[in-house]
Amino acid sequence: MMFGFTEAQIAQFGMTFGVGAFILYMLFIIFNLAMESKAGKFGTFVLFLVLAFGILGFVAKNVIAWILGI
Amino acid sequence: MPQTPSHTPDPVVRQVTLLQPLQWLGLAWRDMERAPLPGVLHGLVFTAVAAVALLAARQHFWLLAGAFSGFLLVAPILATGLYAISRALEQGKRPGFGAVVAVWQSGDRRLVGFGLLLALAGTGWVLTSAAAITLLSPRAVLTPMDFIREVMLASDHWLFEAWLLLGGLLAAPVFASSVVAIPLLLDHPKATIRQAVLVSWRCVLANPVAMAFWATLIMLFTLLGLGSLMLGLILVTPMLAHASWHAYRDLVEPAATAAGGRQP
Repeated sequence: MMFGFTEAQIAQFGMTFGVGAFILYMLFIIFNLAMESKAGKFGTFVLFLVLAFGILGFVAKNVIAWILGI
Repeated sequence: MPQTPSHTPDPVVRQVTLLQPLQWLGLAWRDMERAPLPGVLHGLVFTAVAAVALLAARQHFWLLAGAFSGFLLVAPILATGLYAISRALEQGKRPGFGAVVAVWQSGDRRLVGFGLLLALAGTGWVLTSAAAITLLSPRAVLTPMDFIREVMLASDHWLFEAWLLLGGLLAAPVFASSVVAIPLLLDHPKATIRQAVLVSWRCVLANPVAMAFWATLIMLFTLLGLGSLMLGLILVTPMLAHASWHAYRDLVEPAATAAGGRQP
């Protein structure tokens, strides 16, 4: 126990915030990549769309796993 | 880009802010409050069709997974009547279901043609998705639960991620071609399909990040609709349709001759 939380709870918080921060970091990297590589406007759109698909899929996957208790 | 000869001058595309898609949802909700019946009836029909498809093909989920996601590609044409409702509301009218019937009875060949093109793209995705799932999944995917266990949550392969990537890559050009095309065809009786598609692409090119955000919101709300045992679709589908009209209004400069357009 640390500050009244179990290790599992702290790991869970870390994981949640870690993944959130990682997603924001990916958004930042993709934005920079799109700008620097001059991917073009459509390239930027596709990059962000595919990233959004990925994030939504990741969230949906976790929500379903949580609902099913897997 | 070569210009097509057409009977109407090319509408001017505008830039929108990143968060403007949220405003479109707000305006859509207001439309739903002012004219709830047509929206809810559309929502009920969409939900009933989805439920019948699920019941009829629940043992063939390798096919249904594509069909449900492919529905997103075809839905814009099925919601044409609701664009007419939003347009009538902004003109200060009190539209009923008659406005929807009038659109469908008009038999506008451009709308039928564009609908067929979307259906073709949707079918392409259904076939691609079904092939990817049956060929790449190590185990058979027959029921929705199989899809969740063997595709979504499987830890020994990346099929779900590959499926999403493929879907994203295929959805991008279809979304870019259709984001404002149908409301534009409805609003400009003399515009051609080609012109509507080109204006749609220009909207995406002028606002790539905001349009990706708008596509994400559409996916998110559809997922929530499907996730709520499809009951959420009753409200989600009409709301996204009304919001698409407002997206068109913000993204495309109203024609000088168009009557009653909402000014930004």
